[in-house]
Amino acid sequence: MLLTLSNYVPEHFTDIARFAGYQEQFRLSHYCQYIKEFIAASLKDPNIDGVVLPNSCDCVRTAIDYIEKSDKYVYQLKHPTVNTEEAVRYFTVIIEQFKFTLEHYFHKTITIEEISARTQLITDRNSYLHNVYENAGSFSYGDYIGMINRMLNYPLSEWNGHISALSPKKQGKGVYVIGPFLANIALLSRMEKCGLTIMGDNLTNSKRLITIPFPIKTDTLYEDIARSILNECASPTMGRFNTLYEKDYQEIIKKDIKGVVFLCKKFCESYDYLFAYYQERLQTVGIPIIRVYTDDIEYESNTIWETFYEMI
Amino acid sequence: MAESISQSFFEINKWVYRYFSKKEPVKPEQKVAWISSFCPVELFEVFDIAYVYPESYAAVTAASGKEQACLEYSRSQGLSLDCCSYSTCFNGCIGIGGGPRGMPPKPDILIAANNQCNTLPNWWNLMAEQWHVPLFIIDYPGEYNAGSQTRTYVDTQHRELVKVLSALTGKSLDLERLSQLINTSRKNIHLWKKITALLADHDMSVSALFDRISPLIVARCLPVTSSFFTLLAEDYDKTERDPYVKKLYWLGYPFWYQGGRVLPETESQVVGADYLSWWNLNYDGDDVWEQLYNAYNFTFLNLTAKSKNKILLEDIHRSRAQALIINHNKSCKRDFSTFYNEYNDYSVLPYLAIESDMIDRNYLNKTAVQDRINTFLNIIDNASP
Repeated sequence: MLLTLSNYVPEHFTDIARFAGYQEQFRLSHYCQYIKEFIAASLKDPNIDGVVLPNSCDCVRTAIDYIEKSDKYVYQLKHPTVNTEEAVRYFTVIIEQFKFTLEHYFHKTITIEEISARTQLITDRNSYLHNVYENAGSFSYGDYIGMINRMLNYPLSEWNGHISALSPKKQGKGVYVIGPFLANIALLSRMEKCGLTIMGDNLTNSKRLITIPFPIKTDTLYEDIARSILNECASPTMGRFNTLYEKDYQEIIKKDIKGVVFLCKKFCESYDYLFAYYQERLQTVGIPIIRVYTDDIEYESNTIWETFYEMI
Repeated sequence: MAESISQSFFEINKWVYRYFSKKEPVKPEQKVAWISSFCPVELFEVFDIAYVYPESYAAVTAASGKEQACLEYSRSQGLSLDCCSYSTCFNGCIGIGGGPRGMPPKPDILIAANNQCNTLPNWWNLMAEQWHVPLFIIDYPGEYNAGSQTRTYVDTQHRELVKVLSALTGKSLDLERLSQLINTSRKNIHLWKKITALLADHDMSVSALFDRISPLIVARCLPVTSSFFTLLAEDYDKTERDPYVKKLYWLGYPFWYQGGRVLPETESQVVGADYLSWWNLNYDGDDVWEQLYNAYNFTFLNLTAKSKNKILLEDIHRSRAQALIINHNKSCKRDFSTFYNEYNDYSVLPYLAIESDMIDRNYLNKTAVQDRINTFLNIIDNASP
């Protein structure tokens, strides 16, 4: 099993588990807890055969320095951080190279038929999640993210075995969530208990994953995979906060969302910068935004959410 | 000689910060770019664009003892102080209306590259929102790449940048002048390498050492830097190093608010530092595009750990250091200093790890660090490794 933490890594060639936590931490000061746990899991977990690292942030870029001396398969997937035609061509080569290294390391040929079959599974899973997401606000978001977690940590072929009923949610005050909620489901449940209804998100493994899939043809296979990932993955990594913001803002307005909850991690710079950007823009249009840190125990009490509920 | 070195250094700084004071405003027709440290500066110079390095100005602000108010301003605006302190300091400096040398001229364009870190594009996004000017991000994949396709990818971005700068200034690219500028950069890097090669045997204070590299960062492609480095090399060659001081290699950022870097100068000397080689760019290539590609795609921080290790080991060996001071910089996740655990190859030398922030002096526990350094120096064997 390969471990990764990004949507920039194509799922079309092999099963890839999305990292969601580990009980040990690699000793590193000033790095986010997430990457410290990721490095520990990569080095120590015997179930992990390899690691694919994108260049999402400085912590991830540096993590490879620690992991690459292990005996496991390690690949740094240097995806482009601009979205142009030349970037698609460059990423096409990177994706082909990634497939080649997988085949070489694991002594297995990945056939076009296998890629096509996996592409169909990705399409089916993402379409299903897309339809669920369209009804956000009517179900428990904690249940929804929990279901995605399970889907992403088992083989792609088993995705529909992890579909579960989502508890209905009584309509409260609508909020939009941003940040690493995947590993913080308890926080979502607490927010919901305090009357907040999560109507949408900008989460790596929710909205960013489930944009309607790009059609992939056999004769332009790698280019299509590259194009689909670059088109779908709007993230801080792509270097354009305004693009990301505009997409979120359109949804916030469309769904008449009353406030934004922004989750940050200690020493996660990308989201700290993104928060400052969002705060400035949302304040000008009068939409309240609150930042909480995963490391704070404050959010574990109801007070902060009850206060935010009153504020919006 | 010493006076002319100081004078030459002063002149370079005067030139770099000429537009920061109200005395010499930017001419109406001249455009201003705010750029990150490893941007292809030759392209701005060839279009006669005035360029500002926000990171360097943050360092100057800290060296002037004015960083705390700037940091506090940023914090009050919602920018976490866990972010790179170059950004929090500079952001605060702009917010409170200027720094030690005045206010940088307003940008017409913002350009950041990711060949040192991903922080800079993020920070530049914030500035683009504040100033409402175009933002250009250059993506340099580095050593992990797609072979010849990477060259094409980077070339395309460089050529696109040229188009943008040409439209901004109304000028065409002068290839011959660009080639001359690249040659000057190459010459300056050669001179800087000559200076750092003298470190093992010739004395230079740690304060001067980390200050004197600045022309390579902020005036890399200019003849004035060649003159300064030539003077410096000549002078430095005459100053023998005291053979009895402990020779230390500094790994990581040098913090900017403490000239001596809390080292007892009578007992120790810094004979090398990875930071001093970060701007040793390699402009090899048959044409300007290949030269720019090689220089800016393969910066030290954009190399694989294996390549970085090789460079470091050679540099540490050349320096004949007896021990390492490893400075964990709270602000920087790409700083190579943290790479010293069981996975590294250079822990053959005794080392002392300290913790600091490059800008925020309050983060450094000065007394405790000094005590640890003094104890460390006492236990280092005087013999060369």
